[in-house]
Amino acid sequence: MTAPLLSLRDLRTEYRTDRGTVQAVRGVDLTLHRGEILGLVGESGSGKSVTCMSILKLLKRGGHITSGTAVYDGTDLLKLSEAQLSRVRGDKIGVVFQDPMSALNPTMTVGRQIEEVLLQHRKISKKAARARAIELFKLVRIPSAETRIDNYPHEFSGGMRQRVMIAIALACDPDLLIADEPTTALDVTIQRQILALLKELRDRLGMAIILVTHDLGVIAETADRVMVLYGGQVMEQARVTDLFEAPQHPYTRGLLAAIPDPRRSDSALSPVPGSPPDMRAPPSGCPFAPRCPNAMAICLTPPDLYGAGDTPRLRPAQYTRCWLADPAAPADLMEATG
Amino acid sequence: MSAPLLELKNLQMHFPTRQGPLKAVDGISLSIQAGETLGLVGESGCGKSTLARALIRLYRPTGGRVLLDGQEITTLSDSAMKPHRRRMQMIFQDPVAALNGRMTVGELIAEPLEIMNIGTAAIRRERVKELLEKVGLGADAANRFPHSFSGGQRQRVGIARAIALEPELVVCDEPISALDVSIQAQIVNMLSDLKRDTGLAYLFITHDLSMLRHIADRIGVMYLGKLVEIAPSEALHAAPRHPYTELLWSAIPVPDPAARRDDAFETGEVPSPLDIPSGCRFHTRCPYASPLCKTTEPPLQTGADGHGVACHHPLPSSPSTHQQEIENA
Ligand SMILES: Nc1ncnc2c1ncn2[C@@H]1O[C@H](COP(=O)(O)OP(=O)(O)OP(=O)(O)O)[C@@H](O)[C@H]1O
Ligand SMILES: Nc1ncnc2c1ncn2[C@@H]1O[C@H](COP(=O)(O)OP(=O)(O)OP(=O)(O)O)[C@@H](O)[C@H]1O
Ligand code: SF4
Ligand code: SF4
Ligand SMILES: [Mg+2]
Ligand SMILES: [Mg+2]
Repeated sequence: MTAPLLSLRDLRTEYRTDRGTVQAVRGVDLTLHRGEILGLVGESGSGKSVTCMSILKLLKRGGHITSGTAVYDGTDLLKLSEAQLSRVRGDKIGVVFQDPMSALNPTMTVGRQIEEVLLQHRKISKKAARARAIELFKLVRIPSAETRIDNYPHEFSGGMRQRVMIAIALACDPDLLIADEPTTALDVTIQRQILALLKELRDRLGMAIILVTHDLGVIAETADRVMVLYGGQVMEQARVTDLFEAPQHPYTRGLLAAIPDPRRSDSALSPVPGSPPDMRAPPSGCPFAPRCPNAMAICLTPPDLYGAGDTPRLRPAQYTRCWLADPAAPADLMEATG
Repeated sequence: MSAPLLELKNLQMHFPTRQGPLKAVDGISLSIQAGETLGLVGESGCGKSTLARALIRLYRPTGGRVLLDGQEITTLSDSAMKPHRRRMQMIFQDPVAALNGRMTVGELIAEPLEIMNIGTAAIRRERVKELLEKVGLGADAANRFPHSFSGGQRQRVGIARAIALEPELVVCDEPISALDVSIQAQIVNMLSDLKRDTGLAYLFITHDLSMLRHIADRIGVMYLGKLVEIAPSEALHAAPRHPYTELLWSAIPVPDPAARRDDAFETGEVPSPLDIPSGCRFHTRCPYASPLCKTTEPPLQTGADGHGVACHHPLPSSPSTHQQEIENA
């Protein structure tokens, strides 16, 4: 097998605030190959954004990476200087931030903002940069691209601003795109077209994508592999069909059960009961234990990440951090509880 | 029937630009009854947020009329608008961006009360506590700053602030888009409870069609500045009649990898509000377009069942007969 494009090992990130230290990411491993789309799901506060932003050291004030490596194409990004990182950001690695308004400069036309990224990383003329900016605008389906390129962010709709950010992230044909909730502000038709565009760039240029979303429909239609985060840790990881067909972790099962059925209006909304853990003092054992319908006494001890080698129930490339998958657990326990 | 709480008559909001008027909202008529939830959907950039801002008079409409309880408020000055302001409030997608980060949650919620000179400081403090309980945050949240809250909690702060003045209409512009499924469900359930307890009406803008189905009594569908379909929520889901609505429905992502569609989903270029197509503005992308559609704009026609559609060849409840109808037309 070829070397992965990106490999995170034991990433740990915390936020030091006046209300205590938040352990946002607690030992995340992640492997991504060229041309692969990895979906990242998990409820609010589970550490999806912090994981993504740690890769390029784009953490907000108070954020500290306390351990781990993020090897990209042979280089540990976490060891690079700020100057070296700024050459990678926006060039080899494009980022779509969760909040477009704070990522765009309100005092500059969006065209200038795209052109600046291009001029910073590419030896091209201003004219060529502008032509490329217009082309990118068309790619993300902004009508009247030639004239709207000279507008300011506030003159765009919410979904158009989100697409401007996608255009900026794609400007330099990155090898890796980190997309944090890139389509939340889009209607379903434009959303589908943007996702098709990303898949097309993956097929044509071999771009790899980390796609963060809370929409499991988007995951089902786009991702090759999925990682489920909870309490700053990976709970389950699997190929997309396996995750939907044979979810192993009780939290994954809860997430899938909470999807509203689009064909019915009378179906009650059934979110996973309970509330997320306080990440200033996360549970010492399995982080999901306080809400888990299958919790056992042993769950107060942190479970390992089990793979197909440990238990035959797991499919190839499927991993779950749950005591139910321990080889010593009775074989019928999972079926009985699931 | 009594006068609707809010009525729009041919409302227009055109922004002046160097390339001529950008017709963000281009003649929309609709009404919202007291205690009703009207959902609003449509393509990104079709004018939903602009419509919302114009109808609560954050913008001064460039044409048409806005009636609140039968009373015209379209061109009222800021001071003349003041007594009406408290009756209509708005919740945005990202409440933090809209909130002042240096104010505590308590101060933020009390602010609208202060602006309207309601109560003494002590009475306002009591009211803030009550509101925080109502949105499920607990009274001790008052002394904290919004940035220390999660997205879902911040949205609750936004809601507490919006309902502080006991409005009759709350416009929700994508209040749940940034939230995960569990928190979405909590917020939606909370908004439903508030409606039941206080008789609020909502205009609810969202891209989440399955969530909308849970909360909206009626749903309006916009396309390029116009209302193209409006119907009771169930009827619209069971049998959309406008070809654009049909397209929208077909694009809903299916949470099942086995049903995955890997096609490019080409639906034609989205036209620009700077250059609106002639006739039916959807004709450049409509699979059913006839010569008539290119020249004549179809009016919104509402049947006895309350299902309104603006199309020369609307889809029937049974799809198989449709092509035949177009050929006969
Ligand atoms: N700037 C910050 N200051 C303090 N804590 C933070 C900050 N940003 C994130 N956190 C905390 O880190 C944890 C992980 O947050 P993160 O933003 O990664 O969640 P997420 O999974 O992206 O959630 P969402 O779906 O809401 O975007 C949370 O407990 C959050 O409160
Ligand atoms: N202040 C403004 N000046 C100029 N044009 C504007 C302004 N505000 C909005 N527009 C334009 O009006 C059109 C409608 O925008 P609006 O924000 O109402 O769309 P929307 O339906 O809410 O879209 P989204 O779903 O993406 O939020 C867009 O073309 C937008 O660029
Ligand atoms: S380890 Fe225990 S508590 Fe955690 S998910 Fe598995 S069964 Fe539930
Ligand atoms: S009027 Fe014609 S072009 Fe417009 S939606 Fe109906 S069939 Fe299509
Ligand atoms: Mg996030
Ligand atoms: Mg909008």
